[in-house]
Amino acid sequence: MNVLFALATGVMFGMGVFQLLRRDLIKAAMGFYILFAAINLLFLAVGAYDGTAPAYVDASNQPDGQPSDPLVQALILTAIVISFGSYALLLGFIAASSRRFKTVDSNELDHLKG
Amino acid sequence: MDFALVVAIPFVLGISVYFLRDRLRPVQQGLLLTAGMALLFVFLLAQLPRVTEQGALEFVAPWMPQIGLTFALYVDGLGLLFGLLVTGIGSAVMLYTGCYMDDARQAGRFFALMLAFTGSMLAVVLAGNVVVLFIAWELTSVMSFLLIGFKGADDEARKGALQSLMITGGGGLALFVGLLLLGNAAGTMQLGEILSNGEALRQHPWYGAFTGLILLGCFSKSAQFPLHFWLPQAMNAPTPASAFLHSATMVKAGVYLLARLYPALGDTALWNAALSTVGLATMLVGAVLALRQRDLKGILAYTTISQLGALVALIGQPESAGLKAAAVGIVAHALYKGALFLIAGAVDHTTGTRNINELGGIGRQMRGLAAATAIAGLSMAGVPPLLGFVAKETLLETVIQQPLALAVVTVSAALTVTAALRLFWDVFMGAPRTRLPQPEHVPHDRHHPFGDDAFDYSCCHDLPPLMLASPGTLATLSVIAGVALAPLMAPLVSAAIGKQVSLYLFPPSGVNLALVLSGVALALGIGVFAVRRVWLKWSIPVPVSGVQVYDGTIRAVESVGDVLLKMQSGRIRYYLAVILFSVLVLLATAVPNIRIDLPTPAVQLTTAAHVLEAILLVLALAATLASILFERHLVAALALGIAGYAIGGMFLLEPAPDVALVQFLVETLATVLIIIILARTSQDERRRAMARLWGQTRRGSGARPCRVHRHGRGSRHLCPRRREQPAHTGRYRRMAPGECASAGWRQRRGRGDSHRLSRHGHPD
Repeated sequence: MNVLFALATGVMFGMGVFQLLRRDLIKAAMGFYILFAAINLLFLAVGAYDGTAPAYVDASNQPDGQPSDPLVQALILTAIVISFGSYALLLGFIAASSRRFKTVDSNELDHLKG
Repeated sequence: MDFALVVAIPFVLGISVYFLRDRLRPVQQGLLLTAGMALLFVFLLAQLPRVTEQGALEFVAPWMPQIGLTFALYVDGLGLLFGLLVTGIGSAVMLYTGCYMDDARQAGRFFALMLAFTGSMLAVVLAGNVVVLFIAWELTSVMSFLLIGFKGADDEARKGALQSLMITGGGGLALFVGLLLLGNAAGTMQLGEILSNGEALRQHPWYGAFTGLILLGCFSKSAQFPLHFWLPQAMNAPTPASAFLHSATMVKAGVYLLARLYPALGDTALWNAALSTVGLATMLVGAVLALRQRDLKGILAYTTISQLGALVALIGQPESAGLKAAAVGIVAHALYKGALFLIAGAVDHTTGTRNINELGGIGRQMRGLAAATAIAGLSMAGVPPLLGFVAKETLLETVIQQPLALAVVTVSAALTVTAALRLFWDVFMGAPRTRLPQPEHVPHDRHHPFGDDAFDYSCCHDLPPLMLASPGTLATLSVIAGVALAPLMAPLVSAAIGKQVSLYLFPPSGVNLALVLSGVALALGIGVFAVRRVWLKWSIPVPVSGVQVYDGTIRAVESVGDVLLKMQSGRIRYYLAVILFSVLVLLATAVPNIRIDLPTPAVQLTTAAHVLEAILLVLALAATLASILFERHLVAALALGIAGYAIGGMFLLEPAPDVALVQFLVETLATVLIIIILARTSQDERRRAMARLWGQTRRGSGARPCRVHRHGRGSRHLCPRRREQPAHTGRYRRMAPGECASAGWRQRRGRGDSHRLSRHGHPD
């Protein structure tokens, strides 16, 4: 399973970078989101052990079997929230750029060039 | 303590005169400053006996004790000689400037810079710590830059200013490194200790390094060949600044430092060879190039270079043999060259030109000026009993044993005689030119320093006495110093070089070789002058001039800058790609250290959960790929949502139901969010952005935003009325009236051609 995950994470990263570098800023934001998804996959893959039961349950109601690794789940939870926040911010910037400069093409946003 | 005041007073005076510039006329400013400088001169002169008796006086104040840096002054005969030069020539120049500058505000600014320079220069010659010396040294370069560029509206002035700063500042950097190495080698930054440590320093393994760097700094400052070319360019400065900085004082800072460090570093094979070679080459080159100049100040600049070369060569003589001649030469040169510069300025001021070809015969009107020029010129030519003669004699006596040096000195001296004759004869004597350019720059009432009717002042009348006073005094001093050698010059020179010397006008033993050669040089110079009609027509081919090399270097630096600028596309994508690539390179360096242990078996698909997980993984990848491949944003966003849900499914299988719940929630929100954003950006903009994947923007391509019918920002549609505008260019073709509007729209999308033709069948 690990090899599949490793390959998938790599491919996902590659696709994310590709999408991130596109002219279209909305597509670039999507690329940004793909990168976050790839990171979530990575976290999922590096769990210390495979479990058969959820980690976070009522102690009195603990199902049978090995609980899954809680550490990576905590990390993934944090990552999901942060990625969504950044994504929303990014899309907000794009909306502002569209309103102000009437474009979502990053090549046309060359005001940095003197 | 009192010497610290000597350094501080010019700065204080400069600032005060700057703030008083609206209240005082230029002449009053000049008189005030002359008084200040003269006081400093008298004070320094009064220290001479004390220094002669006690040796060097040192003054040390803590500056930055944490790093052991002190503000130290070291006053010995050499420092005093230069200090006297700075304040003495300074007083004369200040007096002159008061009449030279017409506008009080300009004069105030100019005086402030000149005084700041005076203070810096005094700090250079009185510094007792190499760090203090270096800072003051750089300050003089900066002040020189500001003064050369004083007429900032003038292109040439700015160019000359920048060039001089580049050369002297670049040399200053070399000097800085050299001084730091020297301080390190000596174990102290105090000049006094360095000077008493000469034996050890000359044996030091770094001797070549720090001496070379220090020499480079000194040569650049003192305009030695091949770095001499900045000095003629510096003649764009107002004439008083040229007289003060670029002849009498600042350019001698290099000579000063060489003489200063002679006890510590001097008299080795490297030192003597470098100084005599460079010095003699400079002497000859300067004297030859001076002949070709038409500008009065150009002639003076090149003869100054020649004289500086002589001074450097003298300091390169073994066993301190040249120091006496150098000290005499410094004083003599400052006196006559300062006077001549001021005279050139006066000629320019009254006639409106400095071009020697346009001048002639003005001595009839300006008798006083002509007389001063004659005296100063005689000193420059080395005619007894003037100080210039003594300087030339001591110089010739010093190199009497070296045939090559003797030849160079004699030829240079002869050419200097020619230059002096040209300055006097071709300007003041001979046939008057019929029409002189008028000095346009001066409204005449401005010219009257003491009221409207004090002088009848039209073109080519004589100068106001004050303006004549300075060059006159300097020229007279050349005579007095030449005659009164024993009481005046001998103590000064003795103090400067630290041992008793005797000076004489004529050798006590009768005629010697030096005297003969001096006569030969004089005759030769007059001869060359007599046939000037012939050689003035010659064109001396210069294979490559320093200015060309400098300009080429600047151009090369600029073109490198252009290449670097091309790398700055201003496009965010480009920078992002560079950043990502750099991260990749950094990560790649870690690759050799990575050990990969494949689990066995590498792929485990035994349970149903595993199989399901693999299916979801493939689904996530496929959906992501789809989101990239689909051009339409809405579809792409939905595909991305599917990928997110697939990943959420994997969380569910982990099993981590709570994480999966969050993932589903966030994924839904993200998809909703992007759809909102799609609604807030116009489809037009998005279509334009995705027109090409990686290509450059083509401003005229793609759908343009409609500039006529401005939409609200929520609109996602092309302007419905655009089809009625025939003026759209670029990919849109101009539509004929009655042409199918929807076909036009489709054609714009790039797939309507066949449709349009089939429906309408326009034969064209």
